[in-house]
This record gives sequence, C-alpha cells and structure tokens, in this order.
Amino acid sequence: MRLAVVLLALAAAALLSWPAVREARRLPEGADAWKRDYFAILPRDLARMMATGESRVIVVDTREDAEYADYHIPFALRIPVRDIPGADLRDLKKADLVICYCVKDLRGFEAARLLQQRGVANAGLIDGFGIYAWESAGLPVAGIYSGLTDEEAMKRIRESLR
Amino acid sequence: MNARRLLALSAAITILGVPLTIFWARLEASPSFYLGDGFPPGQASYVMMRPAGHLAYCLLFLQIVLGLHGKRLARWMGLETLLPLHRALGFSTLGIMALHPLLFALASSLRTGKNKLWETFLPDPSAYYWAFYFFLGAIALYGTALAVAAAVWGPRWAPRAWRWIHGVNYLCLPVAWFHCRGTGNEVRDQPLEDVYGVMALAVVVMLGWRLRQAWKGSFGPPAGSPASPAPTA
Repeated sequence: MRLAVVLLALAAAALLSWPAVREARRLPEGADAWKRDYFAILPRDLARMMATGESRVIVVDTREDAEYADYHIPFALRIPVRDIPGADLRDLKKADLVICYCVKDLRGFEAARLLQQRGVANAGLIDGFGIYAWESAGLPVAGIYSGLTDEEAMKRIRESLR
Repeated sequence: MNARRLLALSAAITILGVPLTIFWARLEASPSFYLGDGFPPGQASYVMMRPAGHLAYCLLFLQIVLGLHGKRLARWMGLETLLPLHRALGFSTLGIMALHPLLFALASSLRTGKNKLWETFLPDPSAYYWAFYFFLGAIALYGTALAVAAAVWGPRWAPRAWRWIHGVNYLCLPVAWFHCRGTGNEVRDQPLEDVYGVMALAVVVMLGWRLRQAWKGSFGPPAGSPASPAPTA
C-alpha cells in the first residue's frame, strides 16, 4: 500500500510537470508562436487606439476586485476568467479589438483563449504581458495607488501622446 | 478487498478526483493544447500549477483525517494499522504541496524572464495583493514540512514534544483554505468554494475535539474518583 501511494504521487507529479518541462525546453525559439492565433499589441499602440478612438477597443481586466481597485488600465472592464462562461459577450464580439490583461497575463491568456472559443475573434494580449508592461511603458493607471480616476488617467494618456 | 476498504478507497478517490474534474471541465481546453506551442511562455506551468494545488489541498485533508482517526479507520476496515499509509501519504502530500509553488515560480520566471523562485517561496506579505496569500500558502507548506520532520526525527530527538509539533499540520489546512480563497480561480466559485470550506471547517472541528480529548486526558479526574468514568473490562 505504501509503495502504491508513493508511486501514484510520483506519477501525478510527473504528469503535472511534463507540460512545464516541455515548454521550458522549447524556449526561446517558440516564445512568440502564440502570436499566430492571438493579437499582440504594444502598450503605447493600445493607449493610442484607446485615446484616439480610431478603433473600437475593449480592454478586459481579468483580475480580482481588490486588484482592480488598487490599479487598472483606464476604462478596463472587469471580467474574471471564471465569469467568462456566463458573461454577456455581445459587446465584445462587436469590438475591433479585445485586449485581456492581468498582472503578467497568466490569467489574461486564459481569458483571451476562452473568449476566442466563444466567438470573440479579435481577442489578444498586451505585447510584453499584462499591466506590468503597461506601467513599464510609462503609461498611467487609474485606481487607489495612483489616485487617478479613469477620466484623469485617460487625459494624461492623451497629453503624453501629443 | 472487503466492502469497507472499498468504500474508504472510493471516498478517497472521490475527494481527490472531483476537484480535478471540475478544474478540467472549467479549463475548456483539449488535453494536448498545453503540449503544443500556441501559448505564451509559462502558460503550461501556470495551468498545471492549479491541479497541483487542488491535489495538494485534498491530500492534506486526507492526511489530517488519517492522522486524527487512523486507529478508528483501521479497526473499521479490519486492518491492524494505517500508520504506513499515513507515513507514505505524508511524504507524498509534502511533495505535491512543494510542486504547486514550484510550478508557479517556473511560470512566472518563464513569463517575465526573471528568477521568481525566492519571491515565490519566501514571499513578503506586505508587497502586493498576491504576496499576502502566497505568504499563507508558504505557511501551510512549511508547517507541513515541519510536521513531517517532527514525525521522522521527533521520536528520537524530542520524544515528548514531537506530537505537539506534528499537530501543527492540523492548522495547515485552514491556512491553505485562506490561501486558495485569495489566489484560486475555480475555488472562488461553486461548488468548490463550499466543498473546500467544509473540509477546512471539519478539520478545525476535529482539532477542537482532539484538543478536548487531550485536555481531559491530562487534567481529568483521577481514576477511581467518583467523577471519573467507570473502568471498562
């Protein structure tokens, strides 16, 4: 019985680790292969599209309430990954571009994948990943940390793009 | 195998299998997707980290139940002892519990290109939203490691105290519950939200009962006094 338990645990660990080891081994060559199927937009290009309204862009924040309240991309819609199956996606399907994000886009990618499966063809991620990439590009965030509202943060984006 | 052992095995498989099944159903991805290359670096590690967490939580629950009720269960199942199973399950649980943050550290490192190992295993609870819940997970992991160490070396080095140190493991599941409530995805949705909560609550109740038994054993009325229970044959 002891041996069976230990062998089962080792088998479970091996099964769980196998995809992780495979993906580590295929890097760095395969790092950008996901861009074949998903949009990848640079933070400044996304900010310009949002500020000018040249395309209908919807930004989806997949993080939790507390994270969103702390800081978020201005006017981002909050839809956690677990709520996507039951969410009303009609507006998202009409958008030119739907960009999902979280901190490093671990959740963001799952959201983009689920949205694509549900007919939101133009789902993608921030190139550079997540709100980290947005902040690293020097773009303002709204929320408690910055003290800015969505409108104030968007105004700063417009000023920075002039 | 007799019917009771079959029932116990079925219960264990159900406890382990149901959360994993729910996780897989919610993932809505084919089994081979995360073996390909159609996802950003670190994504496969992140996705595999989640069932490792479910497995770790359920194994910890089973291990605590074995620890608290092992003798009763052994008698019920017609076995002499379940101690070898408890020991094997203890090491296995610790291994899977360690795999969960290891996969997350790999996911973060591959995604950001920076080494996230120390940040994951030694989180600063005040750093940011997630860090506090990572800190709780670290407490559960290190508490379990301490419990295993106490069982392995305690009887020799601390023959009186090792059981109390080993009992720290009972607190690891409620702490792990707060961790997964703060960090999990499918755990913050039904039915896992209630199922995992009931498991954590059951452990707290069992622990309270056990402490009461230990208190009565240490401080109850002396044998033979009118207040003490009548001796059994």
